[in-house]
Amino acid sequence: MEQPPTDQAHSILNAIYTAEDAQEFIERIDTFLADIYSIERKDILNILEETFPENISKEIKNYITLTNTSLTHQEEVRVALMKLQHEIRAARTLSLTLAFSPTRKTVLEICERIKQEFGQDVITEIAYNPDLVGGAVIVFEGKYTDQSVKKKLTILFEAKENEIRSFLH
Amino acid sequence: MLINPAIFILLVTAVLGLSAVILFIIQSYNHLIKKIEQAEREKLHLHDAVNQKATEILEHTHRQNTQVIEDVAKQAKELLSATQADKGSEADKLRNTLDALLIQQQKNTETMNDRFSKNYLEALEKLRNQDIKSFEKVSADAAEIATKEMQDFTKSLKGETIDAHAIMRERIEQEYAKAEEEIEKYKLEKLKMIDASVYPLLKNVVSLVVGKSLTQSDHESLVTQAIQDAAREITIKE
Repeated sequence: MEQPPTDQAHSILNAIYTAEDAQEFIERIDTFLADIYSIERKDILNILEETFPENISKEIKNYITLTNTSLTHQEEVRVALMKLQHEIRAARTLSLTLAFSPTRKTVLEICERIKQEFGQDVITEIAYNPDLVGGAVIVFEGKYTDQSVKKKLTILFEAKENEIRSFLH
Repeated sequence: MLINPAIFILLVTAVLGLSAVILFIIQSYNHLIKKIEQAEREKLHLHDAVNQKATEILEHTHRQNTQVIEDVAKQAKELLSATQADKGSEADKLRNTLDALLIQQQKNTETMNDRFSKNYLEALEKLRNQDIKSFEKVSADAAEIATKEMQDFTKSLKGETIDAHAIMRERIEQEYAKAEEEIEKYKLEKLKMIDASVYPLLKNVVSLVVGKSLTQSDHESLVTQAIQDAAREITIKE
């Protein structure tokens, strides 16, 4: 059973919107940790800020602070960041299939809406299927719901079948 | 290559009809030949009868002549012996008598010849008339038989043709009705298929039209709505 994210991880998960972003974040941590022992203690913070985008590096610093980790101790930073990686991997994911290919701005807006509806720690995994016509198919925590226009049209056609067939003849 | 059964039956009927016609013609010729042979035999028989009669007449005439000559010779002999003494006058009388007998004999012979010729000509004329009549009869009989048989054959052929036509018509009508029924069945099946496929097609068309008519903003609104509905639904499920 998945462990709920720690309070310290919440702020970082709030800043991660999509599964792609989460993967990129984990990879950046890997890159950072690969060279952590070759970094001077005093330079750890600077390298951290260079490795991650500003908002994320800020959140990481907060996370490190909240977990009482010394930013000048390589091993403590490594352990903290590995724990963070684990928490990101274990974060709740919502699968969202769309009928159109959204822009980055739209993706962020949609993810924001998802966080509002399902929880700030939820990361969205986006897929594209034009057959849906419109709307979306959502899978969250093992529950599936089809909110697509295709599904709605099917329901409509089923409900109005006799009426529509009478028009055809 | 397949032949239409109706055409095949028609061809078979035509071949059978032609065979029947040929058989009929052969039979008619055979009948005519028999009649001619019979007439030939009758003619020969008549010829034989005429010849026999002529021979009988000739023999009869010969016998009469011989008898006359014998009678004359006998009378001459009697006269010669009775008139031995008076040869001169009796000889003249005898000569006169012989001349008279000779003339009589000549007349008899001529009469006989005339009768024979007349009888022979009459017999020949009769034979000729009989031949002609016989041939005429044979021809008339043959023509009558041929006409009758031809009429019978025509009638029979007509009857068979009418029967064949009726059977063919009936079969064609049956086949036509069957074909119509099959076409109707096929049409209904196709209509059912079309009916079954039109509805999903319409659904697809509507989906495509709706999909194409949606703007980016519409999509975003629909997704927002979908997220809210999904959250509500999932919450209810929980």
